[in-house]
Amino acid sequence: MHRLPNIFAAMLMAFALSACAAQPAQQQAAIIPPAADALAALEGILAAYAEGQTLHVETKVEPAMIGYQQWIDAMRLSHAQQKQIRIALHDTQVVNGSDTVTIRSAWDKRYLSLPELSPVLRKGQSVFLMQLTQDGWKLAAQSGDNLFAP
Amino acid sequence: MLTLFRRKPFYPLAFLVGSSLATAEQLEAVTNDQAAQAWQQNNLGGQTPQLVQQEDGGTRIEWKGGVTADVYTNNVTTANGSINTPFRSGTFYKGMVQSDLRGINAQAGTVNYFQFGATHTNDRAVLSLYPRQINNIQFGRSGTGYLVAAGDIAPNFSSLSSALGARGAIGQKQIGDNTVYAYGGVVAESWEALENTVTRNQFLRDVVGVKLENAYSQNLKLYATGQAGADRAGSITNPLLPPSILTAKLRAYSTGFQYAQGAYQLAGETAASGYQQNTQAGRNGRAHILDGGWRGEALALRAGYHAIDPEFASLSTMVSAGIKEAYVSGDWTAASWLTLGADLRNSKNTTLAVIGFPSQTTDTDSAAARANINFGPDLPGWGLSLNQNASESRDALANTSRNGQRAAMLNYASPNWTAGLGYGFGETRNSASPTMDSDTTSWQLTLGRSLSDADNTLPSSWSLNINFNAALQDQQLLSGISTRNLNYSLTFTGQRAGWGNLNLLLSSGLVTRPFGQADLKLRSAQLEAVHPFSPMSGIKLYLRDTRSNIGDPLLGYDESVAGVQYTHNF
Repeated sequence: MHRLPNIFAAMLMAFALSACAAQPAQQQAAIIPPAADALAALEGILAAYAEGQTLHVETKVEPAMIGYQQWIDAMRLSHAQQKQIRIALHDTQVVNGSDTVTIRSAWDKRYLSLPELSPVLRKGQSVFLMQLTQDGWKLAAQSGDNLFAP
Repeated sequence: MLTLFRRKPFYPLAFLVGSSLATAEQLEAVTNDQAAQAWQQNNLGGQTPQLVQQEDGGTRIEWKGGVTADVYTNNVTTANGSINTPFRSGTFYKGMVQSDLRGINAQAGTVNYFQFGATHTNDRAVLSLYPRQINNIQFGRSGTGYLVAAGDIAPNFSSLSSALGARGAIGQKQIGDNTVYAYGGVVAESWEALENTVTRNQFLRDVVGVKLENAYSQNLKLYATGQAGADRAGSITNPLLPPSILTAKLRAYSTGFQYAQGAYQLAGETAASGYQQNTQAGRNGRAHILDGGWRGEALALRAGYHAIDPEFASLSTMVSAGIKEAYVSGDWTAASWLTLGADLRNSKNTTLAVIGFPSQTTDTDSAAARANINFGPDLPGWGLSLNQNASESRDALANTSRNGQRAAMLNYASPNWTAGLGYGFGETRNSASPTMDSDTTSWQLTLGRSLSDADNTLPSSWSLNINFNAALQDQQLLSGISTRNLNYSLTFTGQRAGWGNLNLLLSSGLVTRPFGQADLKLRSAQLEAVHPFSPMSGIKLYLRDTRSNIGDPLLGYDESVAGVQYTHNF
C-alpha cells in the first residue's frame, strides 16, 4: 500500500512517454472535467456566503436536501453574527461519482465576531456532495464540520 | 485532446489490455449510441467520449490532461499571526497535473479509463500536511450493462444507504431487468493518510455495500441495499488526539423505489440501522423519506417528507440524524412577464439522548416566496426580482428564535450597459440570547459598460468591460450598538484577439465598529495579464496587494503576491 501512488505515477509516466513518441499532439479545446465544474460551483457558494449573498446561496442548495431548513437557518444566523468572513480551502480532493461529485476538503474560516468584532479562526474538515441538476451544480449534502454554522 | 493510435496498438499499460481483448466476437455488438448511453449512465456529468468507428474496428485511445506550474512570492505582515491570514511570506511553487486516459472500443461498446490528478507544492496554505497530494485516481472499465472501477470511488446507492467517497473498488452488472451494484474499500482522509505518510485525525473505516435493483416496469425501479462499516482500532496516528476516541461499527439496510412517468416523479426509501461504539451499548434507528414532484408547462410542484431517528446511522453523507421534516414548494409561470415561487416547511430537529443530556426537540416553521418580473417590450431589458422568507423555531425550553429577509433587485441589461439596484432587510431574534438580536438593512448598486469593435458580421477583435459595484450593510443590534459595512470595487477587463486578457480590480471598504474604535479600512488591487501561446497553453502574470484593517494593532494584515503561472492542456 505504501508504494501504491508511486506505482500509478510510474505507470502514467511510462504511458505518457510512449504516447508522445507515437503521435504529435492535436490542438483541441481545453479539458473541463465535471469535477472542476463542481469544485467551481462550491467555491462560488463559499464566495457568495463570504460576501453576504445568502439569498444566492439558498438557490444553490438542493431543496430536497435532508435537513435543508436547519442548514439554511444556521447559514443565515452565522452571517448575522460574523463580519469579514474569509474561507480558505486546502488539502482538497475531488472524486467523480455516478451522478454526483464528492469534495473532501479541510478549511480555515476567519471572521470578526459580533458584538466586539473580535477575530476568530475556526478549522475543520467537511465532505460536500455536489449534484448536477437541471439548474446546474447544487449542494446536495454536507457532512463533517459545518463551516456555515454560527 | 490527443488521439494516440489509429490502429490496434500495443498497449503499455496493463489496464488497457481489456480493450484489445474485448473483440466483437467476445462481446455482444452494440451501437455507438448504446455504448455512449452506458457510459453516461455510469458517469453522469462526465464528458461522454466520442465513439468513432476505426477502419479496422480497433480501439481508439484518447488522452486529455493538463499541467499547471505556478511560482509566486508572498510578502505578508500580520498583527496577529495566522489568526488574520492563511498566507506566509516566502517564494513558493505549485505544480498540478491531471490526466484522463480512455481506451474506446466502439465495436464492443466499451470504455476503459484511467483518471489521475496530483498536486505538488511547498506552500502549506495549499497542502497543509505534506508537499504532494494525489487528488484523484480512478481507473475502470465501462460497457453495456456493466461497470468495474477502482481507486477513488463514490458509490451513490440512495439517500439513506451509501453515498460516500472511499478508496477501493466498485462494480455493477445488469442481468435482464435486474442490476447488482457492489463496492468495498476504505474511508480515509486522503491517499497520503491511507498510506500513513501524514498523520491521521480520523479512524480508517472499512466499508462494504451491495444494492439490488429491479426495473419492475419502464417507469418503476425497486431496490434494496445493505452496507456495513467498521473503524480500524489504532488507526488514528495524531498524537495530539486523545486515545479515548472510540471506534465504531455500523450496518444499515434499506429498501426503496423510484417512479418516473411523464411529468411525475416519486421516490421513497425506508431504512434500519445498527450502530455501536466500542465498549458502549449499541443503538438501532430507523429512517423514512418520500419525495415527489410534478412539472407541467407553467407549473412545477415538489413535496417531500423525511423522518430520520436520532439513533440512525448509515454510510450516506446525505443523512442528517434527528430530522423530521415536511415541505411543499412550487414555481408558477403566471404570465410571460411574471414567475412566482413559494416554499413551505416544517422541520423538527431532535438531539440524541446521552447520559445526563435527555433528547431535545426544536420545531421550526418556515416559508419563502419569490417573484420575477420581466417588464417586456414596454421597458426592454428591465426586470425586477422580489424575495421574502421567514423562519421561526421553538426549542424544548420554550425559547423562540426567528429570522427573516426581504429583498428586491431592479435590473437592466442591454448589449452595452448593465445596471442593478438592490435593497434588503433582514432580522434575527432569539429569546435565549436577545443581546444579539438585530435588524440589517442592505443596499447594492452595480453598473457595467461593455465596449468592443464587434458588428453584425464579424466577431470582436478587442473588448473592454468596466464594472462598478457598491454595497452597504447597516446592522443595528437591539442592544443599542451598530456596525456598518461599506464596500466598493471597480473592475476593468480587456481582451484583444491574439494578445490575451488584462484584468484590473480595485476595491476599497470599511467596517465601523460598535464601541467607538477606529473604522476598519480595506484597500485591495489586483492585476492579471494572460497571454496564450496557443489554444492549449498560456502564461499568466499576476500581482495582488491587499491591506486589511489598516493600522489596527490586532486585526491589521497586508498581503502582497507576485507570481507567474504556466498552463498547458493536451
